[in-house]
Amino acid sequence: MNISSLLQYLISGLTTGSTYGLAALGFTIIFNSTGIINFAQGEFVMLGGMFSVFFMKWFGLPIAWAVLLAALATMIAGALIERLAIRPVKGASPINLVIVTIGVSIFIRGLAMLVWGKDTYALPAFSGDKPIAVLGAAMMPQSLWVLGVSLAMLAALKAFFSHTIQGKAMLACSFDRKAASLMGIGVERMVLLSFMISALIGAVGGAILAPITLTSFDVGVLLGLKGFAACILGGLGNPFGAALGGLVLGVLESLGAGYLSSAYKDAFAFILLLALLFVRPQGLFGRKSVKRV
Amino acid sequence: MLTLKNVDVHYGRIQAAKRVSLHVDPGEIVALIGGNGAGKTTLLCTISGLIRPSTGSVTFAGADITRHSPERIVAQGLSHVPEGRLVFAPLSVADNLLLGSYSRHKFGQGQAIEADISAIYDMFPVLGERRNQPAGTLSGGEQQMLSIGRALMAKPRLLLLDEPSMGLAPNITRDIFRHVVSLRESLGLTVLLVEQNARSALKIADRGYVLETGRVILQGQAAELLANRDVQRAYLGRDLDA
Ligand SMILES: Nc1ncnc2c1ncn2[C@@H]1O[C@H](COP(=O)(O)OP(=O)(O)OP(=O)(O)O)[C@@H](O)[C@H]1O
Ligand SMILES: [Mg+2]
Repeated sequence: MNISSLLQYLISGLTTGSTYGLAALGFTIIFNSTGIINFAQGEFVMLGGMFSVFFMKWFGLPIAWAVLLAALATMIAGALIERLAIRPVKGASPINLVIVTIGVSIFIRGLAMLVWGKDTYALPAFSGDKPIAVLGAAMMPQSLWVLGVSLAMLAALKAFFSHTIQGKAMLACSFDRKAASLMGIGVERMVLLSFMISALIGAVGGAILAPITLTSFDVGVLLGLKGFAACILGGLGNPFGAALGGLVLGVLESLGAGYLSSAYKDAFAFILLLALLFVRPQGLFGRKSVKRV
Repeated sequence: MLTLKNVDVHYGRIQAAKRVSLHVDPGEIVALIGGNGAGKTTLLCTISGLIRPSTGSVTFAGADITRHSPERIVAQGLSHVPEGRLVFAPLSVADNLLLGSYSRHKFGQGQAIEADISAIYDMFPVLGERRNQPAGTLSGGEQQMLSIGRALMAKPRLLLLDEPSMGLAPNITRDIFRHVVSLRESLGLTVLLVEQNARSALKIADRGYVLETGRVILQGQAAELLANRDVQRAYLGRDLDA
């Protein structure tokens, strides 16, 4: 085993893992505020990448603006989903709500295919394609962008939850909805906010990854599933566990593809997930049980 | 200050409150007593907007609040300390208190809110000592104080208290009740107190209502209710004494 190829796998694992982590964060935030798994999370990731590509194309925007606008547009999509699909069936059982989110994801994917076709698109790398040599491994500048932006998002989220009253109010809703409404916290508004934040996080993850893995109308399926696996891995309900779960998943997947077989790359995530669920049902960093009221 | 008129509440087909009318005047402590499942919690939740009554009206400070959301009601000066305390267990004591002020959070209110949090620490020194501890690690009595303190952070004029003595030792209960009385003196607070612990509640109350299977079956001055034979037999048994 040589160091530079190991390093190479680590770098690529951490890069894709960051996107899984961001998707997982999105799952966690919506789960905490509503108790449901939003299977449209992967579509947020897809929209982030696709919107960026097309905002550049349609409006001739520089990439930074295209990505920013894509994140905003996806946030609006998240808000619309909550208002049009989730809120009207308020009070339905979690399983029904989950099915609604699956329907939403199929709808978004279909719409994306109609508008953008089935082609694969590439977003240009943010700062060129000239690899940086690190101990014999080659690192794309885009990997640095992915890692840096993911860390920044994580830090921003951490600050939001621990230093702002809105963030704390959102946590309060997840701990006890009834008490939260008695404090004057609008629980519905917090659910809306959680969809918007999740959409934003997913979209940014999709946009920063698009220059590396390319994007098309259906990338959300697999990215969503991987994000879901990551968030179970990290312990459902624990945002930072989820992000870490994404990194672990990305790295293991990349090592597996490198040293075992790349044909089964996508299966590793799920094999790993199943194995973990047997050993530690609460996830790597999870609380013993996730109790919801 | 608070008036309920002919309030009916249904859970699906079960009727939990039947034609309930009651009123609380400014500055009063009113006790609402009754056994398990009498509908006490249901009534408090109806007042604070968590449950919508099927008929009847709730008026607070001259305004009809029957169909208002809980957010609106708390902003109008009516706070509800729920049954079972419901503190935000993983959050710190300080954050729980801060969230209590959510309804009056506006830009520039920061200092006033900080000052109010210190006032709560003065009132309940043990909360001050534990300000950075997760609320879930507090004892039952401390959680009750926190739940009350959190409700006070909204600057209410009327406080609804749902079984503050539940699960507490008699000396802790006495301490909590003493605080309730002093709240009226220091803050001019009006209190509607729900209790199964009827004797302790009636001792600090001005008036009382007795609820049985969703109906008000008796009402009057607290002293009269304490002396009432039926009340004594049904609710003032020695085992309830604290
Ligand atoms: N969410 C609910 N769904 C259906 N029935 C309910 C619900 N909550 C309460 N009830 C019923 O309504 C009636 C009144 O309940 P409530 O909780 O108001 O009583 P309580 O006087 O507060 O009792 P306790 O002293 O035990 O707290 C009971 O018969 C109860 O079973
Ligand atoms: Mg009750």
